[in-house]
Amino acid sequence: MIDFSEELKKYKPLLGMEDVEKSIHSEESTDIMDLLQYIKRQISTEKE
Amino acid sequence: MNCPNCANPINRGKACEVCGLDSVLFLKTCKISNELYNKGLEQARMKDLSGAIESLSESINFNKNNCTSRNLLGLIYFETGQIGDALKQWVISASILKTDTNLAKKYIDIVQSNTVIAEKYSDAVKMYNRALGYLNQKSEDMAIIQLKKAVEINPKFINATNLLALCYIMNNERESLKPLLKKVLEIDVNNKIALGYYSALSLSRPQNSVAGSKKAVDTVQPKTYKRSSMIEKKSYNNNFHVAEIISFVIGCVCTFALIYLLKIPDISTKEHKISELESRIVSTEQKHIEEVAKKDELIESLELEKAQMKEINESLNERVEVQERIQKIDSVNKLVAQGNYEDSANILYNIEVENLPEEAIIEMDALKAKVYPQAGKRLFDSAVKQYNAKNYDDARNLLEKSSKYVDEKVNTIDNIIYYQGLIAEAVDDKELAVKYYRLIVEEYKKSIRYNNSNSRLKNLERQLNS
Repeated sequence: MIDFSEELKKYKPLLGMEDVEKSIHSEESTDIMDLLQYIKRQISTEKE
Repeated sequence: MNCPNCANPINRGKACEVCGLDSVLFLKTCKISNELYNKGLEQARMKDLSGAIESLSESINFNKNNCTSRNLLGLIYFETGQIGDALKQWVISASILKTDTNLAKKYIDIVQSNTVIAEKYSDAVKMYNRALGYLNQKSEDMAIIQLKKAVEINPKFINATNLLALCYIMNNERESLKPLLKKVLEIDVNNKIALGYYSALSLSRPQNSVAGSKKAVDTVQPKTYKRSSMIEKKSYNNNFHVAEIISFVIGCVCTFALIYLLKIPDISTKEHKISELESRIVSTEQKHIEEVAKKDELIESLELEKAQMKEINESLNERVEVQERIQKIDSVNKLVAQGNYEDSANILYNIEVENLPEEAIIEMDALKAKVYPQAGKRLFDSAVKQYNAKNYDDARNLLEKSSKYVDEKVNTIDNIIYYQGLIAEAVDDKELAVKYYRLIVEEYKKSIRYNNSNSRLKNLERQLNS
């Protein structure tokens, strides 16, 4: 049977229109490429 | 070859000497991102919106600058009622690619030019968030009200619809539940939450909800992806005026609906106030009735007390009066001792016997027996004296007094009547005199005054007849 409290956890508050700007500014906006670049830089630093 | 990141030429190897970017790796991630976009696009076309959101989000994770993925993701968010998330994706996309060819700009313009609808969708999101709060506070009824409003404002709002369905499941309202889940699966055929509810409640799934089924694909594939009507009309329909008029009409309808929705709580508050006031009136009336009953009871007890007091007062007065009469008897005793029989008789004559103690009555009787004959005789003698002195009025008064104390042994009533006849005759009231004499002749035949009365009567009758 459905567990209400567990099921409720799946629902998160949605982004309101007035919070869009704030959300964009706070977003780290990191993608895989950024991560790989970061890892690569770390490896080369260790080698040196 | 130029660096795809900073556009500087890469002379040696794969890495850019200026920014250090691995061009091969970069191109590979871009390729994966594009592939995920294509997958997302295909899923969106097949109405698998939740799947499309996953693919497009992954695509952005591989390449944050993939504006097409962001645009499509925003479009899907908008379609499912998540206007904030949609705008976020479009704003980021517009900031990355600032050319006019970027659809994000167009989408943002459309939303900004249709503020009424945008506000409406935003309100629906707020209601959904509020409902989540209510549910966490265990106020399911309030949550249901908010969610119903949210779904009413935006029928394609999937999250709100799913949450409302969950509330209905908890309230065991199966009849309301099935159409909700059906609606969700019509918009998003592979919605995991809705499908989960279906399987958990052993409901028969709607045909078009089966993920990956050929039937679903066949029914969906021929159709182009159905974008939000607002965007579709603005983007692909050149008839702007018609679209704007329709938008205006929809806006008006929504405004009225919103006013109506806002009025309902007001009405319910007023109704609540009315019922509160009514119950207050009822309780006040009840209190009033109780107070009146208490007062009545108090009045009744006071009246009873008053009656008791009156009774006590009367009894006291009676006792006082009896005491006064006893005192009068005592005063009579003193007068008798002084030989004043006339005053003694007068006092005794006026004392009432009622309620007197037995001893007092006996004493009174004894005094009367002693005083009345003496008083009667003295008064009669005085009356005769006054008659002889021709003071007829005084004589008449004394005779009247004497008649009160008649004693057969000492002073008989026929003597008094006879003298009253003589006085009447003396004042020339012959008719009255006749009455007195006749009374003696008829009633007192053995009286010593009989013969005189008889002769006087005959004499007067003769005079009167002549």
